[in-house]
Amino acid sequence: MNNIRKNSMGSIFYYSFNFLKSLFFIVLTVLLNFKLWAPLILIGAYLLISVFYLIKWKKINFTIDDTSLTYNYGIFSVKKLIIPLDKITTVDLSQDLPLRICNLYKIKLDTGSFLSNGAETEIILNKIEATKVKEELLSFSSNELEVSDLNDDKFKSEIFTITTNELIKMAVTNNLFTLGLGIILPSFLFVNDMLNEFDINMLGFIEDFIKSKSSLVSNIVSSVLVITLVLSIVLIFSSSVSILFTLFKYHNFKVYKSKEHINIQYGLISTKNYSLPISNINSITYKQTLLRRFLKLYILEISSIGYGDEQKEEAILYPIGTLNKLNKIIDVILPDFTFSEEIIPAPKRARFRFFFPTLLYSLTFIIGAFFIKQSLFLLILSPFILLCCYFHYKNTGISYNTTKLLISTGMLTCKKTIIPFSKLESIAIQNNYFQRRKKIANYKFDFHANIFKSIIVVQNLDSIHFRTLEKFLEYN
Amino acid sequence: MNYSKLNKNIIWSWFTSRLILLIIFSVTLLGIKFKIKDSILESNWLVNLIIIIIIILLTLNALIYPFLEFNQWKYCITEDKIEIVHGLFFIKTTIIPIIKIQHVSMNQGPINRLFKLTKVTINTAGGIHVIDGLTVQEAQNITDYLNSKVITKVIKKEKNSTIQEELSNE
Repeated sequence: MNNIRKNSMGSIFYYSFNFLKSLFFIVLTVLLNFKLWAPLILIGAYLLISVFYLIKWKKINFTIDDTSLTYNYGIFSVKKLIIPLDKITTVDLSQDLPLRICNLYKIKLDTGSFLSNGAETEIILNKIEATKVKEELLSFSSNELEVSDLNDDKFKSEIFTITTNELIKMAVTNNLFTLGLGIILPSFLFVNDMLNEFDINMLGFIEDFIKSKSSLVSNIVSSVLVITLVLSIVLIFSSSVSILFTLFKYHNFKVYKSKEHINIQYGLISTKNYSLPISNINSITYKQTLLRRFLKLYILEISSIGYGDEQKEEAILYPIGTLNKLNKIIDVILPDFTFSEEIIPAPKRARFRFFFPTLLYSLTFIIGAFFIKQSLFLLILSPFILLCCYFHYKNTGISYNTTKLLISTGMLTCKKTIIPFSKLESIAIQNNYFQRRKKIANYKFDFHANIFKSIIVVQNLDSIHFRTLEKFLEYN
Repeated sequence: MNYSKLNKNIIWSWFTSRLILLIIFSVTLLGIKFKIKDSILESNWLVNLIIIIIIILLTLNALIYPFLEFNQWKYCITEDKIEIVHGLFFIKTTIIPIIKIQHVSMNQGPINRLFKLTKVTINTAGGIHVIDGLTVQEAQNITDYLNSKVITKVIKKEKNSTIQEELSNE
């Protein structure tokens, strides 16, 4: 089984396309010069880069033998990477636009190490070969798993697919305003620049418009009108963009269980395909933003080494749904994580502690600002701060049975995390003099997970839970 | 549960190291203040205030806090878990099941060496926990005990899993 394999030739196109994409704006400005030589230079440069990537492709090869994956790469200095097969925890097939054009798949490896040394491998193959390699790589990750079972329908659970209705709900309840501003502001500047080319001064035009209204009353009315108009345009624009974006990104979202793995697939332009061993999942989280609180919708996320580490990628198990639906998914896919105990909220005597420190800090800040700037402008923030404190109090809670623990935290975004006691590394409580007087404490739960999210802190819970929790920890 | 206290010398160790910190910080701050005195005439009082507050906090940290911290420091190592209680204003109680320990290490800085003390660091997959201020003998005992525990538990776990495998094979 010691044959040397190479990436597909199409990977050259993939590399050069990605390179062009990163230089998109430079390319655009060159093209906008409307000179004849510009496209010629571009094509020449593209060919040159392609030659470079051709050499890169030539140097990449890999072999899979019984125990390990050997990956050779490097243009100037030749490097060799050996990954033992039994250390590979996740193998994902993914596809984005350039790969889709060539009908190729990229294989992403994860070894469960914090310093993810699997990220350096770039294996790009066509579908048949990619699935073959994936099966070979996965054959060692779990002893019980037999390769042929992976695609066997017999072991597949019920498949949960997202509906368009749900996707639109998700898009609309996304954080619209910031997204809209993020798109509108640069595009406004861009339009302004473009119009400047044709000697039309848009900002000056607006200024003239405001100045021409002489009387104060009509000025206020018109400015209110303009502001509402602009706001509604931003909202409509951003929600439509968000709907489009979500429809593309989570198109045909599918999640199902096949034997000991969970499979997740989604995407229209860049297709993602993950399969995670169930034993690697450490916790699940129900997340709910403020807007979704009123609609009773949740996102379901999982914490598993090797999933969700990539940039801008959330470790989503199911992107949106009501509690009932999500619980049903958990029942089918991760029956170990079903949890139905009542949540014990933070005690009433702790209410004061949720408000006092935050208010104290913000007041000091506002007073400090007042001394420097002589304005009480920041005071308008105080209702918002109070609201934050109130929701923090409302969201805090804990619940447990003999095997699992549910922790509810968060200010504006409520996060309910379920962790089995066997995944907890250590627990701690921390309290100061005032908290001790009221018999409350901050809890810290430390569990084995992605490096940044591994500690969950809950504030101001009753301190009697600690000794009970202690008994449930795994000692053997 | 009977907790053990730290060695009394740790007060002097903390005192020395924090005194050094205090001296370094005060000298630097005052030096900077002296150097830029002329260019900040307007907000001179503010700079003075900040420097005084920092120095007062550091002095408290060096002279008073070691005694308070020592009184609140205690730890307990039992059959299956480690419990550490420490803190100054916030008292923190941590429980670590011994089975979760990845490895244990001992180290000794120059000041601790002066007072013949050692620090034991307990690493789990999630974090690092420290027991400071143990005599070398105590630290050695603790590390040996924990290491032997970790190894026996691992062996036991492997045995269990092999037994289970055999059973399932049958």
